[in-house]
Amino acid sequence: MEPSLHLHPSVTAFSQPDAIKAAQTDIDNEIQRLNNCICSLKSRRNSLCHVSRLPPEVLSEVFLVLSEQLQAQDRFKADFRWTLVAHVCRLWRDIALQHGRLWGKIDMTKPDPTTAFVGRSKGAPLAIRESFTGSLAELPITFADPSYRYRELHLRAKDGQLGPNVLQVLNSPIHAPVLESLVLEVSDNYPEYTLPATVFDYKAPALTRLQLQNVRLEWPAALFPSLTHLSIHHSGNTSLPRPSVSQVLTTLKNMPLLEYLHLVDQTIFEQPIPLNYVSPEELPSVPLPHLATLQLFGTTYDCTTLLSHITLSSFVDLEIHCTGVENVPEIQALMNFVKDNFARNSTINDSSLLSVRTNVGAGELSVNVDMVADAVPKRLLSLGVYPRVVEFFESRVSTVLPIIFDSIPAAATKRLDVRSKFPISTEAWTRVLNRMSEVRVLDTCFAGAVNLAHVLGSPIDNTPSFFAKQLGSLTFSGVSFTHKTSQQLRFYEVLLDCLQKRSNGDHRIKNLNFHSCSDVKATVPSQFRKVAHTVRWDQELEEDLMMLSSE
Amino acid sequence: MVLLVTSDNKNFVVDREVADRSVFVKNTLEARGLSIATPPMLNGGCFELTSPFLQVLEYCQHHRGEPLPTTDDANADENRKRTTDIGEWDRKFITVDHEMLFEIILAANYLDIKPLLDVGCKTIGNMVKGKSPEEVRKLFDIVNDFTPEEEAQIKKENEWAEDP
Repeated sequence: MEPSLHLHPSVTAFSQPDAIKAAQTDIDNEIQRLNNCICSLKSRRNSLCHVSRLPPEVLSEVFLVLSEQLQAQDRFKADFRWTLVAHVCRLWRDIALQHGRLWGKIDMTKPDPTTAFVGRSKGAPLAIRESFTGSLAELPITFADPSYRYRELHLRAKDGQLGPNVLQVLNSPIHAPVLESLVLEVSDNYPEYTLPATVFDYKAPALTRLQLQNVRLEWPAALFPSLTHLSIHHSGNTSLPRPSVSQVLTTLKNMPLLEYLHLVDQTIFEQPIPLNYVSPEELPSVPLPHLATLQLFGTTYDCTTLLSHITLSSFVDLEIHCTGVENVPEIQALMNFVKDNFARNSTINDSSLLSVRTNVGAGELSVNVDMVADAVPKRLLSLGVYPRVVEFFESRVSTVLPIIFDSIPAAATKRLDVRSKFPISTEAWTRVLNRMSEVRVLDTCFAGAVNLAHVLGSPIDNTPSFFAKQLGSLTFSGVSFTHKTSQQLRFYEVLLDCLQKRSNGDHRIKNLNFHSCSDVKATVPSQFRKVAHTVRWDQELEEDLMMLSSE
Repeated sequence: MVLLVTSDNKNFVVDREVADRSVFVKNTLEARGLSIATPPMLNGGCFELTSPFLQVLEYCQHHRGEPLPTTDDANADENRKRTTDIGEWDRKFITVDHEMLFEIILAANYLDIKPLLDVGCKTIGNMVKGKSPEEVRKLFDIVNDFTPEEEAQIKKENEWAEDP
């Protein structure tokens, strides 16, 4: 009898169960074999694709580029989307799995891939990126690995402190020959961790970047001489002792290769800087010839003292945030110091008073101040000067503004933006306007705007000459009026009258711009056209002012 | 001037400065003290150079005189990879069909023109970025050749690649 088609040749309807099972296994094996054949054929087909012509070393380079690009976005968070390349086809997967360096970036928040990644990294240097809550104690892994494999250690305790595993590694006397970057950040409310004097035995010859937040150092710290990037940040509310300026300088002296230096609240002095400031001579002088960026946060005295003992190149970008006692002489001394000592980009900040950014050498001035409004309620909002621009939110703007402008070269600033809800006096206007070719008055009050108008329309000492002779462009944006209609009309009346005087005296304004200044605009522009070459009103200014707000 | 002869016997005379963009050609010329370089055989076969070679020459002409990346600076190498940006000229230059793109990359790899290889790798990287494996297969005319066992493993790994 012929076997039925649906039965295996060795099986009949009367076969024993064992025989049926064996037949099924045979068929499964055959299916497996055919599947493998099909997969193999598909692989051969894939080998004929254009992309498969690329040699493995080029494809692995593509994967590396993809991995680096995705992971460059966050120092602490690993992005594993690049691993999808290992899911495309067998060739790509084989190439990816064979390239140990691809798998060397570890995010320990995901234990499963961590273990796989460590295995696949095949001894390649490891970059550990971890942002964790609490302690790392419960995380299994990698810290059992010898420190010689670490290329990057970026650890941030978001709401906790560094756990014993981390400390064990950092305290390890084993050297870290390939370690390039060490970032340790501890949240504000937890006790600071002291970086031990034996960290990697200070033998990490490749270490160029060290970034510590709320991690205390033993000062003067024998840090790594190879560093090019050093950032030490203490939160304001930590009460642990800080180093002296001398200790900071002694530490910096050992790091001549520094290119980036960021020190926040490092030093201990609280004394105000005297008007005739003379820096202490006994402190060491520290040459940092490669430094391109210097950011200092501290008291005015400390910052100035540190600055006066560091020899910087002329191309340094300098940013200073001063938190000391604020007074006009201090500002003056600081501005004079910066003017005398630094040729190019400089930023001075005083979170309780002002922030100044200058491009003195480039012929530009920029001052940028972010005020802590809560700390100085009702009085001080913000003062800022952007490139060729000054902005004020400062009750004593009339006092401070001339000091700043007296401190910088006359040629430096041609455009002035003033944003002050407090009135600027006519005296202050007369001191700052003369060098300006463009003035923009933003969100100012009625009195300040009227004072400006008076100054613009006043002949100097009864001569035919006017203040701000070079003024070509004048913009009012957002003048606020307490008594809307009457003050508005008064403002336009005064301004028109004053500009008329200039026009008659051959000092006619070229461009006059208004924005959000009036509800009576239908009649006003035509009147101003008599005293300025061009007058632009709200709509035409929209674009400019949108750009301005984005600045 | 340098005479470059392709494997299909086309001659190209270029400035030394242009030829030196290729580390392969530069080393060959320096080693032999010659001014003629005969380019390469690739994958055991004749490297059909003329078409991609013209493109590569155009690239070298455009970038002549620019500093070449040093081989010993690993950080600079990594930083270059991290940048997704491709210059405007390079972007236009590399906007070609897949076949030519891979030819250019092959040529850059063989002739050791690192900046061009970078541009090529970044271009492929940008093409792949944000795509699912299936979309990548479609893009490069690849078929899924994984065995069921491999598929199972890959399925487990899929969650790694979820948005961070």
